[in-house]
Amino acid sequence: MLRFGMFPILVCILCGRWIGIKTTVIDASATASGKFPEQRVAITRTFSALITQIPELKLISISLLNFRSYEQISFEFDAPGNLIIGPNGSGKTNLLEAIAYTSVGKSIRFHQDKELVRNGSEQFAVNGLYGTDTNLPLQVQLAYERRRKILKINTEVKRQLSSLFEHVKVIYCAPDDIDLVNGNPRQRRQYFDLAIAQVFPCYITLLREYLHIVEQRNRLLKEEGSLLAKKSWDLRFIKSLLELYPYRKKYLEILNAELAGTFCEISENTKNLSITYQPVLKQAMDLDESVLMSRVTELENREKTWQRSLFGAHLDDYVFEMDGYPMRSYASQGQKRIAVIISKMIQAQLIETHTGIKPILLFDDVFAELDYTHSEKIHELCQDSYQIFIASPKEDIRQIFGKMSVIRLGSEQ
Amino acid sequence: MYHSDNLDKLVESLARFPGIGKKTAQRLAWHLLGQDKSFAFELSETIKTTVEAFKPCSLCLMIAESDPCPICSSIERNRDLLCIVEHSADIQIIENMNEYHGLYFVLGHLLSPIDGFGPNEINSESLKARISELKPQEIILALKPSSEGEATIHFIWEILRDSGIRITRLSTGLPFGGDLEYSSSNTLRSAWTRRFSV
Repeated sequence: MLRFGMFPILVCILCGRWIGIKTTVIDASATASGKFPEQRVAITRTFSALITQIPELKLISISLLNFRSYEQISFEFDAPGNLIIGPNGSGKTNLLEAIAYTSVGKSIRFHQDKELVRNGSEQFAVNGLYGTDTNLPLQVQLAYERRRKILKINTEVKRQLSSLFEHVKVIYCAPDDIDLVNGNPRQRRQYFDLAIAQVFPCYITLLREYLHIVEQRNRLLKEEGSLLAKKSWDLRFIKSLLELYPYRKKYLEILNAELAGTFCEISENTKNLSITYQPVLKQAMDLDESVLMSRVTELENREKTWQRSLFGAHLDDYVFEMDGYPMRSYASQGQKRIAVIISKMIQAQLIETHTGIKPILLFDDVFAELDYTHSEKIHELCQDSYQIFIASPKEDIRQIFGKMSVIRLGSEQ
Repeated sequence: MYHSDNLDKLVESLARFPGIGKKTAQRLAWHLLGQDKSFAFELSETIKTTVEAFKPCSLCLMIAESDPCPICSSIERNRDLLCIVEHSADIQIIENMNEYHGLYFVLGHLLSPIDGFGPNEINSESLKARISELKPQEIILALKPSSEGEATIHFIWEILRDSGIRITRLSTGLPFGGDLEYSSSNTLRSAWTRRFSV
């Protein structure tokens, strides 16, 4: 563990010009047919993954300034994997959150940026240094102050957070991931939206555009406006929906294919897993523009009463199923945990297959809930494949992951 | 800490320009104060006379010095073509291209319920009246590619769909001379979706 070593770099970011990071929204929907734009992208590796050798990234070190519970600290990591061991409240999850921040540019735990600032401070900075097998390191610097965020990749200022996705990807597993099965639909949508965007980068812009249209449409439903104007927004809503659905459908297809394939045998008692899409409007993903428009017309009075859009991708849900039954009602807690971890392992594999980037896996105290056999199987799956970080309050985690280097967090945090 | 009511007022006024933040406004204000006074007086006089001279054309709603505006009153313009734009400033950009010689109509806004812009705010009644009067053969919708632009395009198409007038819109995609390498995946996707036969 290092202290203060990277501080001058952090100071440089903080003293630099602060810019707001915006994402350019380009509408591409007007003439879209609603078909998946390029089928081959979905079923084969992307060009870059297939043809070019994308440098394999491993996080070498991270420096934090005023991030969550950390005032100022640096860590160095081992390429294969790292155990982060420390008592409750020692900052294990905060460290994993910081690692994820260098990949997503946002909190993987859905905190707002202002909530990441250490109490009593006004700004924070995270500086991640990635090593590659081409010996060209990648430096990711993120700094935040008063609602403004700056991102630098190899000291070059980037205006779009999405620039990060092209380089680094992480997958975060935590005990409350069980909420993906048990929790509310919003949590599942958030998870799958991120997972889809990691494989299909266009998805995030289409989703943002879709949500903007829903917001415009909801405002229109609150007032007595022109019927023609409403029809125009209805059509934008449907066209945008028809652009989103093929991505969700394709992701579930490839996810379910993996669940039925390699990952089928990971657990003796958690088999025949599948994830189905449960749209508010039945069969919504298979309906064409004219049918969806007629559904909008049928729902017009109800939507005006409720003053909001009553169906669409912003309300649809995903259901984890085992042997064709919803796991939420029929599966044990252990089975649910294993199902979620398997989904995340597949997520990692899909990212690698489709983008050529090996994601970094972050396990936040998830093995405490699993028996030795399942923990060992997951260990086998990640071993030699991904750089992994495992946070645990207990030393016995070393029985399974004994070869990994250990970072100890203690009372000094 | 230095404070002046007059300076604050000037900074606040300058900060109301699009794209000008408080810091830039302060820099501009101090620049004005550092120049010969005649520069600022000349500038304020120019602003005053120009703003007084310009008003919306009663035919196309373009902000111009005369009513009707020089484009609407020109006998050389092609009256079979009507280009619909969001702002008067868009006309200047299209005119600089020197390819289009038809007439214009300025909507003023795009449909946006969040901002309170509905059919009235985009001057749809004036547009219908202008089209009835002109009876153009083609209407070109030169609106920005965004949700609001697309909704407005569809709205205008709806009110004109039975008129028999050819309605076109500007293409979207890669800029000419632009490098594929530097285009975002979404720009490329847009161009890809709208690809056409060679």
